[in-house]
Amino acid sequence: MRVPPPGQLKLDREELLRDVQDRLSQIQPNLAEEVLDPTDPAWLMLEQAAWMLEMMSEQLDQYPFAVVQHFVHMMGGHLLPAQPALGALIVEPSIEGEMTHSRSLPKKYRFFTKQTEETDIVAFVPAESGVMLRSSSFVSLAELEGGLLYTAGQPLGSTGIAAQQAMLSDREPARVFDHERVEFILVTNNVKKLQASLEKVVERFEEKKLGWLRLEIQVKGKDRVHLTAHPDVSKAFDEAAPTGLTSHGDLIGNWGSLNNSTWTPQVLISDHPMVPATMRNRRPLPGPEEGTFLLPDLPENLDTADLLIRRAQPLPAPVVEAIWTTITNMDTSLAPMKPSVKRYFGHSVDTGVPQPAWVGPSLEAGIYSQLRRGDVTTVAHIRLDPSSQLDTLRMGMLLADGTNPDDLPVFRAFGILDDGNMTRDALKVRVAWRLPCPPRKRGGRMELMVALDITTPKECSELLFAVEGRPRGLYTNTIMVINAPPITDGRTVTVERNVPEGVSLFSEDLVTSEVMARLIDGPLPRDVTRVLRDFPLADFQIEGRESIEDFDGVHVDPSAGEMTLNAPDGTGKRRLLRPGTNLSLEWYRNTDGVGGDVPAGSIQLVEQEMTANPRIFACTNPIGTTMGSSRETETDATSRLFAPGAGTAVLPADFERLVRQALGSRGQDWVVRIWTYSERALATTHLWPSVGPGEQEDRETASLRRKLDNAGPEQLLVVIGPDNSLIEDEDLDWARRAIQQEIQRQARRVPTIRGAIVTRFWPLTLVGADRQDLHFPCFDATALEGQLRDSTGRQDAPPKVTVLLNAGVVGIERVRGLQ
Amino acid sequence: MKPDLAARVADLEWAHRQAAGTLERLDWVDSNLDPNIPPFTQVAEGDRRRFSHLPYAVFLPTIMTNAAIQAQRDGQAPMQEALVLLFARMEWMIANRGRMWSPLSPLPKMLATLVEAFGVDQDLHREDPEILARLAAQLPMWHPWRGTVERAKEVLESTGDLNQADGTYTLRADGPLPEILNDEVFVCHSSAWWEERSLPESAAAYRIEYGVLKFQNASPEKQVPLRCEDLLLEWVPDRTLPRQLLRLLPTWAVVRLVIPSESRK
Repeated sequence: MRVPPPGQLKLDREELLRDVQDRLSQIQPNLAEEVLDPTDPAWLMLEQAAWMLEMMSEQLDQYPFAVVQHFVHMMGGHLLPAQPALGALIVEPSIEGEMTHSRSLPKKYRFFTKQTEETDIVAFVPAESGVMLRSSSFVSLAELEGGLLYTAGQPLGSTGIAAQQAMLSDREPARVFDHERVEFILVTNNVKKLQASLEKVVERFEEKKLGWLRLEIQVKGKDRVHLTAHPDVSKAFDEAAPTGLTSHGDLIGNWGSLNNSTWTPQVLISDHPMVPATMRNRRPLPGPEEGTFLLPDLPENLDTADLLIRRAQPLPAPVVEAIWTTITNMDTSLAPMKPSVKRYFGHSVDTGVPQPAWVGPSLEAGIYSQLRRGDVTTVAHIRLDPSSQLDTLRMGMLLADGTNPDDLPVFRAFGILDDGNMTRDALKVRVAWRLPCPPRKRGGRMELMVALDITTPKECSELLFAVEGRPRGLYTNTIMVINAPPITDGRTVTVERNVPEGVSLFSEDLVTSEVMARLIDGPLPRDVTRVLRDFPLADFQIEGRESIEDFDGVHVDPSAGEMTLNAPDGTGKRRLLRPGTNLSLEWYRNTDGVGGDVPAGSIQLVEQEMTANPRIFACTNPIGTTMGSSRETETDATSRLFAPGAGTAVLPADFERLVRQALGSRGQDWVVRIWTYSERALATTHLWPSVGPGEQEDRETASLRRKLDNAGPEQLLVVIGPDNSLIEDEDLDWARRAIQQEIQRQARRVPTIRGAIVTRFWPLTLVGADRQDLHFPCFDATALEGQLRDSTGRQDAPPKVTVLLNAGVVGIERVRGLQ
Repeated sequence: MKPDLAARVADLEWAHRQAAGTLERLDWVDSNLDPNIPPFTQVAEGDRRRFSHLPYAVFLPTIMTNAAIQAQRDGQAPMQEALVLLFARMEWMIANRGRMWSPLSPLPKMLATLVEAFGVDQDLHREDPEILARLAAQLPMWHPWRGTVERAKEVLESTGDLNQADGTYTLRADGPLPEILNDEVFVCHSSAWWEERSLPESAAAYRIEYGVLKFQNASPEKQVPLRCEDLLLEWVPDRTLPRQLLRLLPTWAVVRLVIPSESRK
């Protein structure tokens, strides 16, 4: 509910004077003249008195609100304090180390935004302790889909903090397989004999008409022969086009398979301009015989080397085995030999995007196939400082959809050791925290920053991180920051009396346990609240006694910045301070409230102690900070508190009040409407926007309708939003989580209500009607005439139903002539 | 007949008339300058009633007061009378400031916010001064017991909407099943809803009456019984469904609709 605005008691002096004149003219008719003599002293005095009255009535008008305000204060109501913003920050360490909190050194690290003409400096501090900051940079970013490998973006830069950020962008097939080859190294005491045997095998191999694999023999030294196999798809046309150029018409390619294998490389017809357009980027047609394919209707003199494109996938390990099996089948004398196998990858074209250099080691370690998770897997290659003494890397992963923080994609990490080999077992990865973040684009969904601690072996110099799906960005050295900079006070207060004694602190909007409790109580994942619980808030030293930490045992008014000694804190605990006790106000924290919500890239400056270890060279916030809110105004507090004793929520109005309280100042002027099951089931209802015949409902409305169809009496429908515009997606997302949390809390008391469907409110204008009796917002559609128009300009006739569920009339635009 | 005003409280009378909007302009002000008239009283002048506030003349020198009174008797309009008229509404408003948040508020529009805080929607009170005054008197006692049909009916009685709710019954699942359950109308619900209510022996007997589908079996043991949160609402199709009643019932209430059969009617 809202306390009525002033204006009801105010008197109008001109109206008053007119009434007095009317009344007096009943006695003395000459006073009824329209204009009285303005120089008449009596009239002058009356005008003066009327003016004073008008002023006094204005003061009287404040009376109802003042009464409520004092009443609320008497009941123990107080302003909700400002809440600090939270965010994720990428830092570049110049000296590696573990970042920790320190009560004795609260200003160890501070991060700032730049001062502009419009905004002041906003300070942030690390919210968590024990984070390992490690020199690291991204090497490449790749994607695996359907067994094919793509490059999927690159680091923002090659050095500095830019190298610690990798953003996914348009993908291209990886070129790392362009020069793939497999080397079989055979050791013998009769090189010539072995060479002759292998040459025969190669001849027979040609007879198999494989069409995609070339074999070469090289003698290395006195006792080694290298047999190299490398995929070459142009070999398919060696027989049909021995000159390497096509003749006009169909072209048949050889495409056989190895012994014990049916595998052949995936190929596409190239998009060469001379290739018929209908064939480009398509698979070749099956040939007339088994082990062949057909390219129909090709022009003359086309280079066969340009005809096929091998898709980006390696030779699978069984195929490599099959090559040797096929060779030994051709010459059984080679069967006892156990060649060592080496695989090489490379490319000659400069693609401008770093190619995944980890393919070789991962295939050798046998984990290439393990990397693939779900439809798409993103693989990041990270380089570490080989001389690092730390065993943990902090990573950040920005997910596009933060709606459900508990539903994380599958991720794994593998180490690449100094000798180039990969760890066969996945490294230990721990989720440090998950922080919902505002969308980077207006109207987008909330995103989710997930911080991960990856434990690395000592000899690990590179890292492979694979995650299911396509995260928006990957970062290293991601820390959580909070807009709660410490204020070093330094004054000493001597307790003079054994009664509650007030102490005025240097700043308003302090960060106290109550503030943190509210923040923790908000819609935040549990791991973030765990971090916040350990965050030190204040330190006051007492001579010879245990210090007061985090305002423990003293009363604080965070909004006013006042502390009362010898008065209990919010939990009822009281720290007894006898007269003569000297209290040293070391430091405490304050916040900028909603001013702490700064956009991405704003935090650029770092301040640290000279001796700070780790030492930070640069910082940036890849996403905006969030959750900051300013202290409640007196009017808001009265509106919130001026309600009957809460007890158990029963009526829809009770739940509406709870929702309002959960939304706090952020949803101050929003419409909040709760529809119960009975209302939804018994009345004919309508969902805005209306859909015309043949039109399809938009996705959001269709989804809402589906949810409502399946919702029983235990589900409330909560409609929220401003009464003059559509609610922003970010606000809706935040409100949805706040409301769900409140309903869950209520469900412990009232188990019959177990959930809520939260949707946006569509404010509508009734056009072309002259109605005086409507109360806004009006959800009743039974008596509406004219046209309904929403804030996007969409206009429709009022639906023939009883109730508008997600929309309400908030104003009337009368037809011309009736205004 | 001249009313006996001695038994009436003047400022209550004023508050009531102000709330009802009958104190327009200044015809209601008793501008008699006699300093002996007690403050905040009412006088009857024929069939009209006038209200006098503070006797300002008390604070003036006697010679000035007497002159003003004499002028008034002579049919003139003295300055003092004009001041009395001018300050009248303000004085009475101040005298009634303690009632502003009470059912006797001279400004009942203020009470709209109060009754909405108690869970009564704008659609119900319609900003009607009389409804608001009645609700403001009733709601503090109603609030702890809100959610029952009887209490909801009381509120509807205050708002003049009782006729909408006179066909409601509350029945509990653990009691005997009412006879009218046989006439329950089939309304679409989720399968979970039916699962929670159906008994193993429940069996539907579909038939169309009054153009609506009814499903309850005539045999009580085969009926889909009521759960404790279920409320049976008997509805005569010609009447409007009491939508406002639904706002005064618990959020978890499930209203099950009954249309009496022709034979019952």
